[in-house]
Amino acid sequence: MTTLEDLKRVREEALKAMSVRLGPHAVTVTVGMGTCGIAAGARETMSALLDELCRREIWEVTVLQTGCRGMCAEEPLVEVEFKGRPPVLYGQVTPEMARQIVAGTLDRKNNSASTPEAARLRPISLKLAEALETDHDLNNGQGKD
Amino acid sequence: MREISLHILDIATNSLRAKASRIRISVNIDEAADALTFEVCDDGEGMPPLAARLASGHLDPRPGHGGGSGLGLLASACERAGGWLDIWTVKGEGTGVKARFGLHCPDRAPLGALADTVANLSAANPGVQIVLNLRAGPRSFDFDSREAKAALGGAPLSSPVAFPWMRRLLDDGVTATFPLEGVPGHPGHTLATRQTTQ
Repeated sequence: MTTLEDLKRVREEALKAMSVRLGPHAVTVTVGMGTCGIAAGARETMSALLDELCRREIWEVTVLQTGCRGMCAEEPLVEVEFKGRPPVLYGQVTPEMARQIVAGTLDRKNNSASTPEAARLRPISLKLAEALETDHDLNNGQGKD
Repeated sequence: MREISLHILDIATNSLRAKASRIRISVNIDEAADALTFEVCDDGEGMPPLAARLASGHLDPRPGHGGGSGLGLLASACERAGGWLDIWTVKGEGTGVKARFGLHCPDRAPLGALADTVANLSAANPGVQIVLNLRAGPRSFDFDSREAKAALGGAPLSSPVAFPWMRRLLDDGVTATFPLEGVPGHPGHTLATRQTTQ
């Protein structure tokens, strides 16, 4: 795998990624890698993400890392952002969940979003939005009294 | 942290937050001195002097007070394993962190999946040069993410063909340099090494 001929082949194929990642289907996946994230297993989560993306040959996804987001109890946090759409945040992402995220939402060729595995994954950003709504209703109720 | 390589990832993440463009990670195993040493040097913004002083002793996670608990955790891990932690920082020029552990100390965490740490760092930070130097007596291994990227004609290291290639390169290098430490998931020091020290 590390001979010169292999390197040439890898090089020719790798250059494909540069154009795809600037295209309209570009996706950014960000993994929280602060001290809290790392202690909660963020490195394994990121390894699983990268491994699954490579296994399924998904070219348009860029995987990045970031620091602590202030939600240490929900680490490892994974944020998925499709170009031009609001980001979706997943909490407590185990390596298995990371593979499900790739299978359910990132694999356009072989999309299995309707599989039970993907349906069970609830993004934390959805929970947060719900929590904020409930909070809002409570405040409204108090306001009337 | 369960592994020394997770501490390395943590310290390197500090460097990224300090807007470093080059991070050098070196790991050295010296059997004669009974030492496992790692160093993470960057060319980032540097730390405020108070933060550098506090980092090794106290935890002060308030914003502007030297950040989180990563260095504090590393300092206690070093002390627990009969070693020490050294930090030097120059405002605007960079920061270096050197950690030393007793190689055969039973309280030392295993080195862990160092290849994973460096592969993930290189793939997730395309704009940052990651340099890895490993030394163990006569054995050594060097990796440079900028050279790897140049060998691929400037293509991202996280693409489905480049990433497995880089992973393999790092895995082979780490395993060849640290035969007892580099295996992913391997419990670091083997039973044989432990027996010789007791």
